[in-house]
Amino acid sequence: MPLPGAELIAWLEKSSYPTSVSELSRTISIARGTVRNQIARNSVAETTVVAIARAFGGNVLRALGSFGAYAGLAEETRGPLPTEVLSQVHYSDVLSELLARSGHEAAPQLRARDLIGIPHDESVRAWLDAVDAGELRRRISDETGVATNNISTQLTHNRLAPELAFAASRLTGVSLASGLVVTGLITPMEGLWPARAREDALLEASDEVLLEVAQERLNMLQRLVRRRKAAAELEAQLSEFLG
Amino acid sequence: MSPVAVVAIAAATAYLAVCTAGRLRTRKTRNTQALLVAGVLTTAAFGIIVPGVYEGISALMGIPNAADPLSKVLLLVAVAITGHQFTKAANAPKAARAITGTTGVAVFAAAAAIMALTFPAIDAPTPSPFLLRFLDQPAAKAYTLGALGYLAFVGAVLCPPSLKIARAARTQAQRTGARLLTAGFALTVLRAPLELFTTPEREQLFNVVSCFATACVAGGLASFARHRKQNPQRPAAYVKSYLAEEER
Repeated sequence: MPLPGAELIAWLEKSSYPTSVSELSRTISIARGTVRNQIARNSVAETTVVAIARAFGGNVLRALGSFGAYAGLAEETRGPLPTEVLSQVHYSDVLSELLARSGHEAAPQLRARDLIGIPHDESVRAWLDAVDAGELRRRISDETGVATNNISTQLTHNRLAPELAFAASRLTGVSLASGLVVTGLITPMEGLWPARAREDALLEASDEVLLEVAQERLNMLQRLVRRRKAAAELEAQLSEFLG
Repeated sequence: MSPVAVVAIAAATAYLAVCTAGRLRTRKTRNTQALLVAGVLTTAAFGIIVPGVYEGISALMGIPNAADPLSKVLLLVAVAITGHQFTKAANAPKAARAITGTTGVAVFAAAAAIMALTFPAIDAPTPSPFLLRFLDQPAAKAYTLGALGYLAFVGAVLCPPSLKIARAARTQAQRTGARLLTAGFALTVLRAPLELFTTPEREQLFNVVSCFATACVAGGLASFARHRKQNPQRPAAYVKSYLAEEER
């Protein structure tokens, strides 16, 4: 949900940040016209607020929490659940860990690798599935007024609008910043995820849990590969017959 | 014909010519050549209507307003070719059957028969593009409705698959192309019933709608051609098997 320009100005004044559009745009390296239009049209992007807070060394959670739409963000943010953290481990890292545990000769090299960063392919859907106790998409839709097929389309593209990610966090009772972390709006550190949380979760997970995660991810990957194949075929088909 | 209508027809003809010329530079296959032919026919159909050209062609044919049925026949054939190509691209067998199957052939034949039967019954001694001066005659109205009816039928058949492609296409160029096609097909469908309420003055405005619909379809197809030119690729498995089956 775009944030109101008036709330941005109030937050800038309260935080003693410059309110001049030129200075702001120069500092955050976003075109002056873009910032001016966002304020004038009451559609300030969350990324703009995050960029301003980062540029001036402010707390990103408090910055977003100053806006009505994200009220309580700073206060109700805590560490993530183990399932949330595991959901953010790429399937290849999960498979590498399983391979390492099997006593494969490449185990030391596999464990020495850095994990693939987030957001990765399907990370948003994996998180939503991990926190979903049932009917979550419909509940997000009821809460925000965004149609469920619109939400599904966003998930297909591994995206979720910040207000939807925030609503999902609130509806499932997890840390309010979790949705913003997995969608890449804020970093895990800004979302109060412990450093090396994913590495630790991977090492601490039992074989059974890891196998279950691997199975889910491979199913997800299979769907993704099928979807991409179908899309590539449609593209070729359209080019061949209409190009 | 009002200056606005003349400008619309001339602009549509020029735009169609540019889109068709763009196709000359794409890789030549049976499919691209079919659309090239459809482009040439559509450009000719619009070019014939431009005042001056219209009178000249009618005089050459020796019948006042003979250019009008010629233009309409060229347009109907072009639409049938485009529709056939589009249903193959959209992998829509039901739509394909509706356009090139028994139903499609029957609708085409019915439209052609209506035009053939009503045109001689129109009392039109002087050249008038779109038979504007004679639209108060029931025969002229039925003649125009015959052609528009076929176009609306094809538009209605192609609307759902093009909407589906507009949602499913992976690239921006193809999505834009499919959206333009959907808009063009939808306008074609809306255009036909307008004919029931036409007068010579309104008809000029309605013809601007037709020009716009045609430009949308031409622009949509040009967008697909541009995408192909920028992304030359080997056909995917589906296309290969389809083409192999067609050759058999």
